[in-house]
Amino acid sequence: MAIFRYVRNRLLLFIGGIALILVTSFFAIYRLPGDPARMILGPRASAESVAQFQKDAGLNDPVLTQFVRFVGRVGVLDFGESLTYRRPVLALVNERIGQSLRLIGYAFLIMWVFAVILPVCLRASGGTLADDGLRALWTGLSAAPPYVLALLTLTLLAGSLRVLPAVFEPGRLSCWLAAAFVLAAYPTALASRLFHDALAAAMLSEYATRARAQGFSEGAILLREALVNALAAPVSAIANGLAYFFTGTFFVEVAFGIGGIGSLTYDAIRNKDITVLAGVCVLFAFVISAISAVLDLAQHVLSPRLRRSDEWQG
Amino acid sequence: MSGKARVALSGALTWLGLIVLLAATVHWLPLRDPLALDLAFTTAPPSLEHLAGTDELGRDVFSRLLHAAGSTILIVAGATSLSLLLAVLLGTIAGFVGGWFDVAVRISVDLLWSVPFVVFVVLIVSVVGVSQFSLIVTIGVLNWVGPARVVRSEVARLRDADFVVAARAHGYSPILILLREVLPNLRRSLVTLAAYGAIEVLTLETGLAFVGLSLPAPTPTWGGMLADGLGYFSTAWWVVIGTSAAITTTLGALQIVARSIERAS
Repeated sequence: MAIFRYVRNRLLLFIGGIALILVTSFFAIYRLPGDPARMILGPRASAESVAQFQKDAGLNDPVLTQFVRFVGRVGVLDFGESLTYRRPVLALVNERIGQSLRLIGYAFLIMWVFAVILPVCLRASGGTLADDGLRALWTGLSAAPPYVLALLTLTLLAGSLRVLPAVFEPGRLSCWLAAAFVLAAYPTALASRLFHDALAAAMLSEYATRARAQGFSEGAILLREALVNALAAPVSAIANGLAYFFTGTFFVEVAFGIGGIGSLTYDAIRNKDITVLAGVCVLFAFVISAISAVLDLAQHVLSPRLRRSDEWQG
Repeated sequence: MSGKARVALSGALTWLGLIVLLAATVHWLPLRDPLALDLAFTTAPPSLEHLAGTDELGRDVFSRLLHAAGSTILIVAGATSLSLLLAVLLGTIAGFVGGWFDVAVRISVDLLWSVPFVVFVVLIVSVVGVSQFSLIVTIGVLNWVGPARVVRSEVARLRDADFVVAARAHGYSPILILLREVLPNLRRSLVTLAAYGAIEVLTLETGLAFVGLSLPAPTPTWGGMLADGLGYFSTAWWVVIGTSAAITTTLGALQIVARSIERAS
């Protein structure tokens, strides 16, 4: 029954977290910076039209009524109109989400290849040194925050070597890959370190010793025995990387000039476009919280060891 | 601690000390005015006159880096101290007293933990407006949850330790036990948490400044300088390189400090 209690608590937390974000964005749009009617209609609107707008938009209703209405609209993905573009926020998001998802997709692929597939191939074929070198390289790259790494990449590849164009070209794969490498650096470093440690532990285990005694080669033991047992470590790190990607894409898109959700947020910050900002924040928060809730639940269902640690601890 | 680790640690501490010292005394140093335009010397490469070159308006990059360090250090120190203070206060009471307060702290921690931190900070800061004060309060108030988890579980563990039981048997008041027996034992964890917290705040503060949530121009910030450098990385690479070097060396030094304390314990 502990598992059901865990699922229930985790879902409650998810709902609570979303509620927290909703309350914050509600106050961001409707309460804090002066008069929302004035903000939406612009500084040159007449007093009458402002009063009319306040009446139509229900801005004179009690706060709670307004909040319930706001939540109802968010529930059907209606985030209102952008203050800058005078278009529905959802339409703007729809236009741009493809770019962000493409970048995240490439980064996800890079993470799999460099954290799991390549290390296994290298180790199985005896290229331990190359594997260690590669891991050290990723660790070094991941020490810089994504925006620093992005700028260094641009300065080197587009500024000095000129293998990349200075302005992002959506038609060129190399542009996408450069940005995806930057986005993937930190999670890849983390996942490959975890995977390496788990693999090393599995190679020292008793079943590996038994296989060794039976005369299997190191490469065969790695592929047949250790790999399956060590795979849990990078899989959860890679899954966690997904949540990281949604925050990281914000900085990487701005640096590379990719026109995805990150750039939309950036423009919204610059233009003080609160409706877009709040809409994107609610969507981001929803996606990231949903990913981490699903991961937590999946890990608890799949891993018997975690179930015992349902008791809250550090 | 091995000899190599000791050298790394003293190097890191020296670097951090040097940056704090330079940032604190920046007004008395023989530096160029960080805001002074010199249109005859725009985007000049590094030279003896301009150690890190000049930017597109002819402002001295080296001087701007040092001037920017001050506000960043203030924000990092302020936000980290605030979140640690909250973490110690709430985590200690939760771990030591238990009961409904413990439950309330745990629920708040789990709740804030499940909300994406960066998204939350971006939303709040862009509505409230950017100032040193707003950054310190927003980041500090949201970022106490990680350290609070650690503090709470350490305190809960110490509560049943022999020396605490002995102190209780002596009839000391709970407050005295907390101050004399429990808190001193948290010192090492707190230093580690402070170092990791500083890394997090520095990364976030610079990132926010990079996307435009920085102190208003022309006040220099590291993230803002990086964003400026984005405009002319192919003509004036030294702006990007200089600023990146300042950010990564400081982050790296903090990493070394955090790891060596963690390993030593």
